[in-house]
Amino acid sequence: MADDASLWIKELLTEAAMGTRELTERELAQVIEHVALAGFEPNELETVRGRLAGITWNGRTLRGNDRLPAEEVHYLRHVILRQEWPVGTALEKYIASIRRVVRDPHNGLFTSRYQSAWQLGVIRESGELRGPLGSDFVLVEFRITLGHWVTAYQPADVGSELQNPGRGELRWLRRLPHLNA
Amino acid sequence: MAPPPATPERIDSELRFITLMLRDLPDVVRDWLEMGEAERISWSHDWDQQMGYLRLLDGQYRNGAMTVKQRTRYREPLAKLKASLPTIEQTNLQQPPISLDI
Repeated sequence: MADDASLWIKELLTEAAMGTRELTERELAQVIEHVALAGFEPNELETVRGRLAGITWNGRTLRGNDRLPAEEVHYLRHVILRQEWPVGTALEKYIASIRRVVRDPHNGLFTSRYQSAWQLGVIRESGELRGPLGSDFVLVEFRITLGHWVTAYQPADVGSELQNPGRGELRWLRRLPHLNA
Repeated sequence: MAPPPATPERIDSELRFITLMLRDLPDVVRDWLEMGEAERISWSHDWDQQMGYLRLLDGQYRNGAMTVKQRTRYREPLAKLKASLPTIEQTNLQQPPISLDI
C-alpha cells in the first residue's frame, strides 16, 4: 500500500475499526471501491498442499509443494475443490464476483480484529453465487495492514463465523438486514 | 438462515474435506512461522470455515442424519483432531467447536 490513497484508506479503516471515527457516506463509498479493486496480494504465493494435489490446473497436475499466486489457490480451494461457487465458474468470474459482493449496496460491512490485526469483512447473501456445496452467504475479508483480500468463501454458518473466539472487537459499518449476529 | 441441506452426498463431501484438511495440518504447523502473514491468515480463515462445517457434521452425526458408513468415517477426523489439539494451540487456530468424545 505505497500510494497516498491507500494510506488514507488504511487510516480511515483503522480509525473506524477502533471506533474513533464514523465514516461519512462518501468515505464509505471510497473505502468500498478501494477494497473492491484491491484483490488478493499479487506477489504472494501460497503452498498448494495435499488438499489441492492431483487437481489439473493450467495444463499440469498440481503437487502438494507447488506454490501458486494467492488468487489461484483461493479459487482452487473454494470453487474447484469445495464447489461453493457454481460449477464452471472461471477464475476471472470468481474474482469479478468478489468485487460485486464488495460493491453491492445490500451487503453488510464490519471491521474486526482477527489474529492481531484489523480487517474489513464484507457479507452478502450468496444468491446466484451459490454452488452445489455453497451456503447462504459470501464472506470477503480485507486485511487493512496488508491492503489486500485474504479470503473469500461461503461459511457454513455466518453467525458462528462472526462470533469466532479468534475474532474480536467487531464493529458494524453497515449492518446486513435480517442477520442477527 | 437455514444450514445447508444434509444430503448423504453433501455429508460425504464434508467428511472428505475435513479429512483432507487434517492431513495438511502437520505440514502447515511445521511451516507456520515461515509463512508470510497473508498465507497464515488465509489458512486460518480456511480452518475457521472448516470448523463451521465440522459443527454441522457433528450435528448430523448426533441427530442420525449420517449413514452407518458415514458414522464410522466421522470417527477418524475426530480422533485426529483430538490428537492435534496441542498442535492447533501452537498456531493460534480456532479450537474445534464441538466435543471430540463420541
